[in-house]
Amino acid sequence: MKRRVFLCAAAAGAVSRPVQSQSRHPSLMCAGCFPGQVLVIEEGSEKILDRINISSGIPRGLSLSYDKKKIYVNTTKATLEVIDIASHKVVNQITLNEGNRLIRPRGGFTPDPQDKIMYGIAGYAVRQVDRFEIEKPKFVVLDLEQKKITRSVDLPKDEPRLGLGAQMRISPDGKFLYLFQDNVLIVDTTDFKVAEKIELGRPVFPGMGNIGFGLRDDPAVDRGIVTGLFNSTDPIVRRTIFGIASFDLTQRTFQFTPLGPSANSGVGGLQITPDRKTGYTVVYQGDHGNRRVEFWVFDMTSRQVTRRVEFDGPINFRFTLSGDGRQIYIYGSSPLFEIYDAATLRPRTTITLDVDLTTNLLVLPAPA
Amino acid sequence: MRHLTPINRKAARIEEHIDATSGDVVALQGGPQRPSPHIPLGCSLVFAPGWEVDSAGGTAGLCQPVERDLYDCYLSCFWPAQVPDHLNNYPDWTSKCASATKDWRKIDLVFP
Repeated sequence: MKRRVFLCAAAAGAVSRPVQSQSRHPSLMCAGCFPGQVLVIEEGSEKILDRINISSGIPRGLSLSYDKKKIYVNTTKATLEVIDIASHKVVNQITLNEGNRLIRPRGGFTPDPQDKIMYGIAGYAVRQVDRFEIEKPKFVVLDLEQKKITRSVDLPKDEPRLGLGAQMRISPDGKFLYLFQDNVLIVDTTDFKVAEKIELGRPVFPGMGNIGFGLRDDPAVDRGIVTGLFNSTDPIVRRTIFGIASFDLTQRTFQFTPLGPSANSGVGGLQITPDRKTGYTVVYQGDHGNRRVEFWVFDMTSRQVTRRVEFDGPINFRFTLSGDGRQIYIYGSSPLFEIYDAATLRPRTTITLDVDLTTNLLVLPAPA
Repeated sequence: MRHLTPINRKAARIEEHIDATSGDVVALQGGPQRPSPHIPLGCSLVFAPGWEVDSAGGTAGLCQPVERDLYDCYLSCFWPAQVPDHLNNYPDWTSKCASATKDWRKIDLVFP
């Protein structure tokens, strides 16, 4: 894919395809917490409906399965637990450590379209009597039925940082793995060779803020589309532009709409309402004591910034748009999260939990 | 570094790169250089209670309330010198405490 294609912002057919839902049930969301649980919270009332015990450590990340019927929970003890959304039960548990070979994943794993295997990048630390021996990271394939890593392949030699902070998506036909990092790499899943490299980077975050932005597991959109905020560098004067990009993972095309020069500020991930008309992100500028944090609202039809409103952002925080797109959750590792009205961008209420959160809030698909 | 002299081209390029970072000519893609205090990555790298500062040299960027620092150092930021590490040695350090700000007394004692 040539740079010229994205400059004219006309690569074919990368459009969002919302999944229509007629359910009148309130949305549910999940979050991992200390000392080893996943909370099931009802949106609207913000009541905790269930607590699912995780026996293998503290949850560190939640993600939806490809069919959106299960939740993958990765824990601090290098274990993957699978929760059935309908029954709220743990239905599978896979330990990734192999004796004294301790796995060190670089980022999360992503499932294939059949939810039978998962792809990831991981190295190993081999624990010896007096030292750890560190093995180089590789592409790994985790078989969910055999409950073990069945394949590992060396990373490309010119991409030694591959996987650090990356997020992955699989194409609907399972043939290509997309890695969103400093660039977008498209990797063939048969031989793990780089099939294509697109020079669109994720916006940078200054300082050491532990801010979990990124591509969201969006229950309201199909798996073949990824929409997010990206940086692009002009090939002539090397000026960095940030804008909205939509990837069609099936066609391997993308559409990039530049919004403006990339300032020396932090830009969060893009979260879009279920009707795909409005997008939200969080932008912050300056250092800790003088930091200014703003909500930015995008009209996804015209792809323009329509509103900017400052708010009191905590030190370390994440943000998530509710399942109906009417509320914004601001939360971190403390036992409370703030709820903002997405229409007015004003704080509505603050919910206090009895536990400290350890993961992102995962909005679940509405029940049929 | 002035007592060292580059003897090959690679070493010379390293010296040029270091000199360039302190110069006043900034490449377009580099962005403006901002003056900042010499603080090692974020919170303090030394185990000296009371000295902890954020990456800007102040305290505004630290965990609030202060009890949250226990869990953020343990899990999110991973400071295994200041608190026990969950990765290798103390994976169950917090198994009796769900909220550090409320129940920090229930956190296990460890004796390395």
